[in-house]
Amino acid sequence: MGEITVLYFAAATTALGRTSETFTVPDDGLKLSDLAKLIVTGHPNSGIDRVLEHSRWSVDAELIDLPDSVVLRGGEEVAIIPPVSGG
Amino acid sequence: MTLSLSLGEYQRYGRQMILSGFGLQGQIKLKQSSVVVVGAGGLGCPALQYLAAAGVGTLGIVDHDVVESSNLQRQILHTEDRLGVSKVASAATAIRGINSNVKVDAYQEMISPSNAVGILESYDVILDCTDNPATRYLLSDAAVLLRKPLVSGAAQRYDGQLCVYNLGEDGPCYRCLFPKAPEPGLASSCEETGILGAVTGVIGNLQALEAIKIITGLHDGTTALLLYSALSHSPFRSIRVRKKQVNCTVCGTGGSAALDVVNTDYIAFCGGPTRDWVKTGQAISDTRISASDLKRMLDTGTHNVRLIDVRSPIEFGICHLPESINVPLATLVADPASHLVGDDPHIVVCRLGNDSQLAVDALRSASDAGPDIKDLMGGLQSWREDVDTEFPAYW
Repeated sequence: MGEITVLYFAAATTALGRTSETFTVPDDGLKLSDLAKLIVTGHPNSGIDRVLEHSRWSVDAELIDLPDSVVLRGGEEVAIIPPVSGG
Repeated sequence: MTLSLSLGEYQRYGRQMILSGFGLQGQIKLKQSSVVVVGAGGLGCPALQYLAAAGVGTLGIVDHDVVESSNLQRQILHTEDRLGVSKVASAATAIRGINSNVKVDAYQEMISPSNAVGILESYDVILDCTDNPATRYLLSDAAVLLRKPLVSGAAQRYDGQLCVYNLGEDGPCYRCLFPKAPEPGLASSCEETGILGAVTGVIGNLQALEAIKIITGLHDGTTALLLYSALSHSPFRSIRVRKKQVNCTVCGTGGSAALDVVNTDYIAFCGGPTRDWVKTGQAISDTRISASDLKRMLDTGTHNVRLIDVRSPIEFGICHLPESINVPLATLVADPASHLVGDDPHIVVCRLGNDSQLAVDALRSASDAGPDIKDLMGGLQSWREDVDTEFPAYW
């Protein structure tokens, strides 16, 4: 089993009150879309589910177009990138 | 000898002209270039400052607002003696003081679908220094239509983002990255989003730098999304971004041909107009009490009052009514019954009087025949206006 680090930005940080979190990846891997479910169930009533609907994912500093197509194996750094509109 | 710049300009810009890759040609390109900065606020001020200092020939500034004292913490071109002056006039004055060679075009109007293309079309580079999602989509669409690079900056709290959209032939647009507009009002209605001035300064400076790179040919043409987190041990992260999406509704194949900026309702696309929270906070109902009635109730002392302030602990810590206790809205709503104590009247307060209505609903639904439960109409803002002008307005 490996571990992944999830970095939270902007509205995700605000919803969860933290900037990062680590998750354990099972031996047969973890789909990026299943990671979203883990994050939501791990933080009930935080509003993170609504933030994730509008956010983009990156894995190892590369923006992901189709989260269903990515399987995490452990060791990756995942970022959740909500749009920021303030100025 | 024919000089390309004035003698003064050689001296003035020498320190950047001697840079490898910049040279005299770089300075001439800057002088012949034009940049339009939409929004003369937290991002626009530092961006304009560096663009003017570097010697960009023409700067357009678009903003409809006037300078207020709450702007001065981050909008560094504006000054105490220009409070009440339009932001474009204030910024133009500041720019003239920095570099009188720069031609400034001031547009004191709100950028909109009807004026965007007309304003933006005469400039080489567009800077998005605005503060709302609808304008971000509008500027992105206009940039695609006009085939111009859009240097987009954004900042909130301790975080920032920077990306150059529509760069070259195959750079993605804002919609390629964020096709779905964010839900309006994800933040609660009485909450202001905070911002540290130095954070908008970082992003605004980077926007100026990207524009200078594009104009002088120093930009390598690749698109990356820069994420800035001021409090992180590694505050800058650069995310690689793919080229434009073939199926993007605007910049994809066939997209821009059908693009009709003037007739697009960007506000509806972003979930409708922002509600007037001051007005909704003043709604009248029999579960509410006015600021002056609350004052009388506290002064006469015929009742003990349980005064509950549902703002965040940070805001409560800035200032609060002396008799009040702090129970943040989310805490109260999660378990309202535990915050019903005794038979004294319960009065809920917040900043503008919206969150307190939600709190009253939650308390009432958890109470059968308990205490009288009301909230302060218009919140602490009305308290300040009608009862105590010495109550600090940090908003």
